[in-house]
Formats: sequence, C-alpha cells, structure tokens
Amino acid sequence: MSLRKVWKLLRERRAVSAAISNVILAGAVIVVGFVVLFWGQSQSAAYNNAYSQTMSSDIASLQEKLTFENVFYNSSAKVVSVYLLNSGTQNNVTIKAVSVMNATTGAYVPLSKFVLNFFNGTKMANPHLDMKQEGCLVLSLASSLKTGTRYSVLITTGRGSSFESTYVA
Amino acid sequence: MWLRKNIEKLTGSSKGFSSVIGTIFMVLLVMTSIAGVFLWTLYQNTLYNYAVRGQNQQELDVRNENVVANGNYTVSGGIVSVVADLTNAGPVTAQIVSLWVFDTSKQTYGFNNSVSNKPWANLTWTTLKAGQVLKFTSNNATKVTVPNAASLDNFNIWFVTARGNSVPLTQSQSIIVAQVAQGIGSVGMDFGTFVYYHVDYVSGKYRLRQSEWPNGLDGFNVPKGQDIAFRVILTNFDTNKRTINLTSPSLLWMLFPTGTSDVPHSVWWYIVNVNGTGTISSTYSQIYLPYAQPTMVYFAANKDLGSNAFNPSSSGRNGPAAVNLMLFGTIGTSTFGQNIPFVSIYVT
Repeated sequence: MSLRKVWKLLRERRAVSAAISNVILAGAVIVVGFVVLFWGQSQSAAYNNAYSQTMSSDIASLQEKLTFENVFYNSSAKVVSVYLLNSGTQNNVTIKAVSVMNATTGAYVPLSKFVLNFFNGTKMANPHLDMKQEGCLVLSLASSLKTGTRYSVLITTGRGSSFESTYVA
Repeated sequence: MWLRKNIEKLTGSSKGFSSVIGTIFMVLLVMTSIAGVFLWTLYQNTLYNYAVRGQNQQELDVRNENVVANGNYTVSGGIVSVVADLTNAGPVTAQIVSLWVFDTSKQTYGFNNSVSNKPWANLTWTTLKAGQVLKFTSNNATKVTVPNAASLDNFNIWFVTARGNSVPLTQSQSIIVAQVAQGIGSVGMDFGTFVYYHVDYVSGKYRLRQSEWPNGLDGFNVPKGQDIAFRVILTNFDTNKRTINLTSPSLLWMLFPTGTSDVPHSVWWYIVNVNGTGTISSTYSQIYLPYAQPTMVYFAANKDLGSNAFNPSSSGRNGPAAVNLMLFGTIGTSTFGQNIPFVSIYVT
C-alpha cells in the first residue's frame, strides 16, 4: 500500500466507524485469545508442578524403609524402646506418629509421648534418620503392658509410610 | 482436479484466509500446550516406574540375602563375647551393621553397632561378598555389654544387616565337644601347640629365652638338667559356660617309669605368670579360663608360688616320661580340680 493510499484512507470519512469497530473487535479477540492462552499455560504448568510433586512424594515414600532391630519393653519405667535402622534409600525420615496396639485384642495402648534418640541415648536435636542411620525411639506409655502378651508397634513417617513390628512384652 | 481448483480458489481470494491461519495457529497452540502436559505426565510416570523397579530390585535383594552365623559365646563380667563365622551364602553382597544380645533370663539386652569398624577383618564396612566368610575368633571376638548377664543365662543373639535382615547366631558344635568334655573334665588341651622354653636369669629376673620367645621349641623332646618351662594352650569347655580360675597349686607333672630300683621318679613344674615379654613373675596371680577361649598357660616353677618364691625347675633324669596336668581352682562359684593325662615326652 502506497503512502498516497494511506493518506487517502485517513482523509476518507466514509466507513471509518466500520474500520474502527473492526480494529477494536480484532484487538479484543487477540487480547482475549492471549489471556486464554496464558491462563491455559499457567494451568498446565500448575498441573505439571502438582503432578511432579505428587510423584516425587510417592517415590520418596516408596523408597522409605525402617527396620526394627530390636523392641524392648521396660515394665518398671513403662517405656518401650524401639531400635530402628533406616535401611531404605531416602534421607531425612521423620517419625510423625506411633501407636502401640495389643496384637490379640486390637486395643490401642495410649502413649504419653515419644522421643527419637541416638543409640547411645542422646536425644536427637533434629529428629530424623538418614540412610543407614540408627536411632532409638523411646515410647512412654500411659499405662502398663501385660507381660507375656504380644503387642505391635506401628510407626508412620512424615512421608506417610507405615512400618510395623510385633513383640512380646 | 477438484483439489487444484479449490487451492487456486483459496489462494486467489483473500476472503477468509486469515480465519484459516488463525485457526491453524490456535490449534497448534492448543496442541502444544496439551502435548507439553502429556509428555510431562509421561516423564513423571516413567520416573515413578523407575522407582518402583528399583524398589522391587531392593526387595528382591533383601529376600536373596542369606548370611549364616555359626558360632558361640562366652560371658564374663557382664560382657558377652561372640565368636562366630559369618558366611555370606547368598548371591548378593551383604553388610553387617550391628550385633544384638538379649538375655532372656534377666530380660536385659545389649548391642554392638561398631561391628563394621574391625580393622582385623580387612574388610570395608564389614562387607561380605557372596561366598565370603568373616571370622570372629577368640582373639577378636565381638563384645557386647549386657547388664547383669551371667554365664548360666540364656541368650538370643543376632546380627543385623544393612538391608534390615536379622541373622540369628546358630550355636556351633563346640557344645557337643563340651558335652563330651563333661564326661572327662571341663578343660581341653591343644596338642599341636605344646612347647617348651629355656629359662634364663637376666638382670635379676627369670625370663623365657628371648631367642625362643614367643613360639618356643617342640615340647615332646626336652633336654635333661636344664631349666625349662612348658607352655600349653587350654580351652574351657564347661557345659555351663562358667569361667575357670586356676590357682597356684596347679602343675605339670612328669612321671618316669620305674627303673632298676622299682621306684618311679617324677619332676614337676608349677603354674606361673608370664608377661608379654617373656618375663616370669616371682609371684602368682590367678589365671582365668573363659568359656571357649583358648588361653596360654605356662608351667616353670619348682615350687608352688602361693607360698614360695620362684625358682626354675628341670628334669634330672632322662628317657620317656608321661606328663599330667593337675589343675586346681574354681569353676564359677564351685571348687575345681582336673587331671589331664595328655602327652608323653622324651628327655635327653
């Protein structure tokens, strides 16, 4: 389009409103299109992010493994000592919840507290178990266990994995 | 023909052309977004599958791990010493992390989680390759402190591997030996390590000849008229696993057959203490024989050191002689006495 034609178009008053409306309409369509496009991309990115986080969490949970080296009940102190080894391939395994249950009746034994120590009895400042690290979980019971009865200890980690061991009090 | 016409019509007219381009552009954009999500999802699923596969392999390794512990233990002063052969009979490499001892009689327990730091094992982190055997002998027994543990108690002993398997200690056949020994006495002697030394007096002290120390000379042929000392290796096979304490009247007694005078002759060497350099102590302090631990015992004095100063002993006669070990002391809290008619020697 030559400069003369552009000049003629600008000076021509006929059909100006139609051209303007077309420009506005086209602009609005483009803007809305881009908004939809960016919204769609952000949604897919959020989905990707959420999905990868879920997968990472599932993988980490899958790779957690706690081994019970020994479980011992001290009847005089009403304390159960659970000696653990992180035999999985995940670091930073934390203990979120612990429960003690009568393996025969299924009745739960209330706990007053639990503490994760090193094997030498020192309390861990940042209670977690890295790979191949050992720790002693000390469970203080609110009531005594019946001697000679089978009990099970269920440990739930921060990532949601559960590990169980049965012992005789 | 029809297609060509339509293409010409489409390219020849500008009407609606932008709509087509816009649609194609939009479709491409939408497909790109969807493909991104789809490929990302596939990638994440692949990662998960890898993790599942790795975990399955690990579970398989745990099941395939097969370490066998065969051995025995002794208890002394609340310390349980575990002597064992650890054999990796499985196809995968195993690592030993800790050793646990549970005293079922006293309901006490102890552990040793530094099993991995044994330089004598010449192994890295006590790693056992397939088929490899790790020996915890009496000299490097793994010790576990168990409060109030006594030799008559019953114990559960197990090793823990890095994969989380427990390996119970299977008691070896020394128990059978001990049961046989119960019929003839609790102490056994190693016939292959019976030696003698010459005794020298150097700088006011009696000591075993340095040129012969520590291996000694063959004990089945000894010289006449020279100050000598004998060394035997004794092992306590008491079925109750009690520790034996040998007291000063214990001696090695040599008996010569009757000669023309029809009078038997004898000579003896009383038990002594010998330190790490071969020096003989002038007094005697009790020697302990823990269960199943071979212990070197020396006989050199001509009199009981419980009431006499040390003086060396020698044989004034020659010829063949029968040798007996006459042992006295305590076993656990009971008194103990045993005569071991063990070797014949020739004096020249």
